[in-house]
Amino acid sequence: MKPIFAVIAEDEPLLAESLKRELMKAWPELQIAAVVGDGQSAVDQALALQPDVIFLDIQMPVLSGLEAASSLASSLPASQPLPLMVFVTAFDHYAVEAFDRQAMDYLLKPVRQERLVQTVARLQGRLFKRSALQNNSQEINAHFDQTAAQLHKLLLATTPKQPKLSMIQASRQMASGNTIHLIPIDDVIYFEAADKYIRVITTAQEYLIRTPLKDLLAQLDSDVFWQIHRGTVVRVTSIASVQRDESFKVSLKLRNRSETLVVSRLYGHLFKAM
Amino acid sequence: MKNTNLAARPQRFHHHPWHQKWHASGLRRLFFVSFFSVILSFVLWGISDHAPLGVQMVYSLSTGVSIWFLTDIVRQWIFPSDQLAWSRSWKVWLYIAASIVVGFLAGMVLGDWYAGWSTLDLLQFAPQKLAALIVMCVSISAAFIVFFYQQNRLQVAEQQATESKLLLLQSQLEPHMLFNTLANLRALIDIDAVRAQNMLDRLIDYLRATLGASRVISHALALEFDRLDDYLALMQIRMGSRLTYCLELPETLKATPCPALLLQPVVENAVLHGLEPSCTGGIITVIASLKGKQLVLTVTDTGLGFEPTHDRTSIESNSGFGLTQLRDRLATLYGSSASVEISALHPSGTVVTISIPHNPRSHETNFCRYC
Repeated sequence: MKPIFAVIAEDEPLLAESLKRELMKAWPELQIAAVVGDGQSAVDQALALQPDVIFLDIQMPVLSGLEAASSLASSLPASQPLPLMVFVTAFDHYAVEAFDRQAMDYLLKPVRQERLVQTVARLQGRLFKRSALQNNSQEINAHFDQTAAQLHKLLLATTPKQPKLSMIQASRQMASGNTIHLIPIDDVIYFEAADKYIRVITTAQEYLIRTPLKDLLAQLDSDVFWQIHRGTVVRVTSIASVQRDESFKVSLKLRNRSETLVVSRLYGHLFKAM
Repeated sequence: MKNTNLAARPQRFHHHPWHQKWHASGLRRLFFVSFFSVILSFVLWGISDHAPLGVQMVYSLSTGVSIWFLTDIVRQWIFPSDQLAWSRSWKVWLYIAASIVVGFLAGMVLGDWYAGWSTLDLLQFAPQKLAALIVMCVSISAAFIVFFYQQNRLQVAEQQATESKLLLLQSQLEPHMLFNTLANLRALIDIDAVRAQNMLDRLIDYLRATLGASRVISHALALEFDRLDDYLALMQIRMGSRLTYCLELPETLKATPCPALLLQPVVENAVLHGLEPSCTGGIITVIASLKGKQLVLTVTDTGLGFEPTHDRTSIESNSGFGLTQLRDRLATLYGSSASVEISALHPSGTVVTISIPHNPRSHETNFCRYC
């Protein structure tokens, strides 16, 4: 049988060591391929080692566990199955009850052996199903979408609430002088990140702003604007149609604009239910 | 980076509604002033030959109450930020001097109206008597104001010491801090039971600093450093090699009094915003030293530091940083002779320097008078 690999991401060394020990007791066949102390290293190691399971502490330096998980999901090649994810947290202000344990599991610190045994059983079941289906691409995609939808929900729930923007102060591309244009948020069709700027696209015009996309997202109503790609945020009501090709690639046609927008795999789940 | 973290933190402490407590003590002062005025009128009546007791009472009561009204109630309206601690603003002192003059005149006018004569006539036939009255009024008022100020300063100091303790309690009981510490201790029992026991003892001492019954305004510097040591040792268990620390307290300064839990929020901040968000962590150094007559306490961390684009005020205005609270506390205890400075460390990190007057007397514990 093919060995099963895991990566542990935990910034507190004693807790990482303890989780490793407990895992060795509960799941002797599991091989810990790497133990890392921050979110970015977790992404790097997961991409390099292609583990079957990844244990992520939620509060870590540089990238949080949730951010690391989405970054991993968006950088993973489509052929490669997403590792099964287990989040570890000391406190449930991340609304652990919001976890759908089908998609990904969570553990509360201190980790108890009997709880860990349940998690291990669930992971083993999932991995068995996966190997029985011989890495069937439909199963892989279904798991990916399930996980992505969960991550999306959790990240939204943990974004600090900020006052919503009603006007955007932007400049015109290539414009000389320092005119600042005021654009009502209702006129914006989509935002697209480009280098240091974000392009603000309305029906007839295009403007530039310098706010990082992450900060902008926090100030947009998540029911009105959807992120569909690492660098694209679109007004839902401006979407005319959704197309899906044979390789599951999703693209959007817009009202009042001729261009087509690409939906990345991480956000494909948004258009499943429609 | 640091600043965004600060903004994300919930506001840890709301400012006290000073005025609520203050109104009650304002009435208490009115009672004191009236009581003393009555006694004074008896004395004046006893030593003077021509004014009846009623007239003396109207004079002293109306003078006393008007000065109280101006320096206590009206002052609060004009200088709402002046928290009845030692004021550092000359405007307040000028106002108080003016209040005494106006109060004296008001008392004179009311008294004259009641008695039916004019005190100003004294200018012609007994100017030394008028001078004596003015000197008496000014010195009694000054004595009262100094007394009330001192009393209030102590009260505010006690309030702020309690506030510091609450602040620490809040961070100790912050679920992420508490559960992570406990999870680490649990893991340590398996790996190194002796060390786990030692850490548990530290956790107990650390919790006792807030949950214990003592309510002190100040304690010996050695005790302050012990609490920092407990906190940092616990954090070191959690953070491993990412946290290195060094506490330097010269033998000669061990007994020096220091406001209780003064350094705690500063060190906590260095860990939470300097070291925790950094992959490589850093070194925290706390040093006590003497510079002339000042006791200088520096907390240095080589962590992330604040971005130069964020100006100093934006860091200081954030109440999560605890710096405003620290400033208020030092101002109450030492007036303008204490200072706090925050600066960036090169290549990265933050230095907080606190300077307070050094009190060479051996340590005395000031217990709260109300418990």
